[in-house]
Amino acid sequence: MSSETAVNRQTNTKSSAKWKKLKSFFKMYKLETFMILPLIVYMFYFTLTPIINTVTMSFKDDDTGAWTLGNYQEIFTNINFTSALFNTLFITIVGIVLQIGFALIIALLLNQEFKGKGFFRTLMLVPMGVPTLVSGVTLLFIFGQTGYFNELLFRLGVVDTQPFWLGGGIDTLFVIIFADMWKVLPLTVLLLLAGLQSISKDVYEASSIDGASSWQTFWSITLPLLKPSITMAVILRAIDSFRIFELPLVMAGKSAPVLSTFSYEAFRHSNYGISGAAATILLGIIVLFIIAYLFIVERKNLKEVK
Amino acid sequence: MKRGKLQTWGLYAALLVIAFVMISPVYILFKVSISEPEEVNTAHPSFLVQDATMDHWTDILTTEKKTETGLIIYGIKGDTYSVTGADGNDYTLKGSDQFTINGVFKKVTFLNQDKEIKLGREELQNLRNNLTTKKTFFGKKVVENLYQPLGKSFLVATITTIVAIVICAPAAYVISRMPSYIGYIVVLGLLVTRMFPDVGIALPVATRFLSWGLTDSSFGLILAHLIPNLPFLAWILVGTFAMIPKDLEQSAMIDGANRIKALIRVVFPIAIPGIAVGSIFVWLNSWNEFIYARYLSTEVATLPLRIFEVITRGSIFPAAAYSMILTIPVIIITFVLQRYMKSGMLSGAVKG
Repeated sequence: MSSETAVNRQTNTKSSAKWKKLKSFFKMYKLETFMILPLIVYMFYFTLTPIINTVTMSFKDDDTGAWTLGNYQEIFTNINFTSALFNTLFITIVGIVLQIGFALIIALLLNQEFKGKGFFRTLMLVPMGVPTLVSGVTLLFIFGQTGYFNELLFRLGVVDTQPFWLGGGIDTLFVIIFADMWKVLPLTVLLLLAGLQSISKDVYEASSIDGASSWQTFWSITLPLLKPSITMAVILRAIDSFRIFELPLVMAGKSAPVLSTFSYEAFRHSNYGISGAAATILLGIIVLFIIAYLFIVERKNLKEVK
Repeated sequence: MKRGKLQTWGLYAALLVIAFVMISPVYILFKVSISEPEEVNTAHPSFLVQDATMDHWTDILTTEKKTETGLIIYGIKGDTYSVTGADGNDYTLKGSDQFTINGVFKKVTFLNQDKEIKLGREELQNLRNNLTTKKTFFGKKVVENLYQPLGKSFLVATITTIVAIVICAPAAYVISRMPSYIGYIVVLGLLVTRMFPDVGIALPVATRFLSWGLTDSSFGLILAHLIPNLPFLAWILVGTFAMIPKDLEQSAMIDGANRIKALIRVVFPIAIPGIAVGSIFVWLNSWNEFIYARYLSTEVATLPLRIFEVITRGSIFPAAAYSMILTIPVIIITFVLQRYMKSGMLSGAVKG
């Protein structure tokens, strides 16, 4: 009995010492703690716990609540799911390569000094103001069978008939990629432009004094200094592109399912386990990409900050 | 480096091409919203507006729907297609009569009782191909209110943005001043929380909100919209604050300002461009948001939800008009705030 209390006391003093340390830490960083706490609490309660809910949901039977792998077995034999998986990967990989390329070109153009810069910049921002859903609606007008794209091709003499772009297949995926690119280019351009503008003018002055050509300047100054912005843009876009939802839903419906719409359809039919499983697989893919990114790009940075 | 004349022309040519691609979908949207139906519902739609009409706009701006002859038709009874006009008289339609609901032609047989009318893409195409008449009749299901979803969307987006700035700006500042290794881990943490697909988060959140009675409420939707936007804004702002040198606030404190004063007077003003860019993104994210709204709303729609309802019904003209209404304030905001999107003032602060 007495030895037990002694042990207790010992741990108490031990933990109270730790507690004191913690307390003095918080006292020292009272303002900081106060400033960061709301964000942490919110994200814990509204992001972390729902994520765990969804993952556990994917391993549970909807009816009995028993642990099972049945949901995963079911979706991997589902042809809709496998095509959703392919479509998602295709849209993301091809889409991002195109998007970053175009965004970089536009950002470099807008970073120059010229008359009417503000005007052009404002025009570039316009698609950002169009809700994703609406851009789907609009591009439906354009890429529909009697839409304006076919009419343009017809008037240019490229086609006689009216090809149907949205019936599924690779051409539908490219239309979705175009729609997504149109919608998010301004955001990507702004991110890259902010990066470009944070590069000090002195560097450029120095390089022009040294007689570097504009191509050399771009290749050995702009691009390396812009790398953080580009990687940030790539991740942001990859995340959003994997989760693409409204555009395939509005433009192609069931002829081009993606992981998100598959998960949503399952939810609508009250197959929560299936919905959770598709969402979990989507998460898994994204995590794989992030890990690859960490190893390829960030490992060096991590060593540096250490 | 001075540009040659040729390069300048090349620059403008490239910019014009890009601007054209960026603008033309919006033009098409606007064009559809003011076009006569037969100008669009044809195999060869015209690019230029030939016959502008404000009908689609008036239709959604006023909740009353008028027929071509000025009759408002409220109800359609049973299989006899007997309709009641605003004048109180009953009219009988033939099954082969065509009518438009918000610009989309349908046969009266679609108007069975009070059933909701949904058309597949092919059905719609068939109807478009044999349009013959301009008669316009409206069932009462079509009568919609623009202002309620508009108000909800505006309220939710605005409050979400304000709350996000209040929560994220201080937090991002703290993260940017952490020892670099810890700060780096935290930023990666923000990244990871932003990774999760909305469809996955929305499901448990929807069930949670259901038990809290937050379904359909603006408050609930704001809480939901903060989920993706908090880590997003915090992530952007960490970058902004990290670029502000510590010496700046330290010299302010040497000049006699206390910690909080130094933050409010010196650090945050410099961060305003970053905060402006970030909060525009947040506002637009919330304004455009569809998935959480879809999971969390049953009766009280936001504007994107309303557009989705309309377009899935095949009514392209009101969808276009709604879309324009959704787009206009955003263009104005983007225009007003864009001059704050410069990070150039930072270098001035350091040099001075």
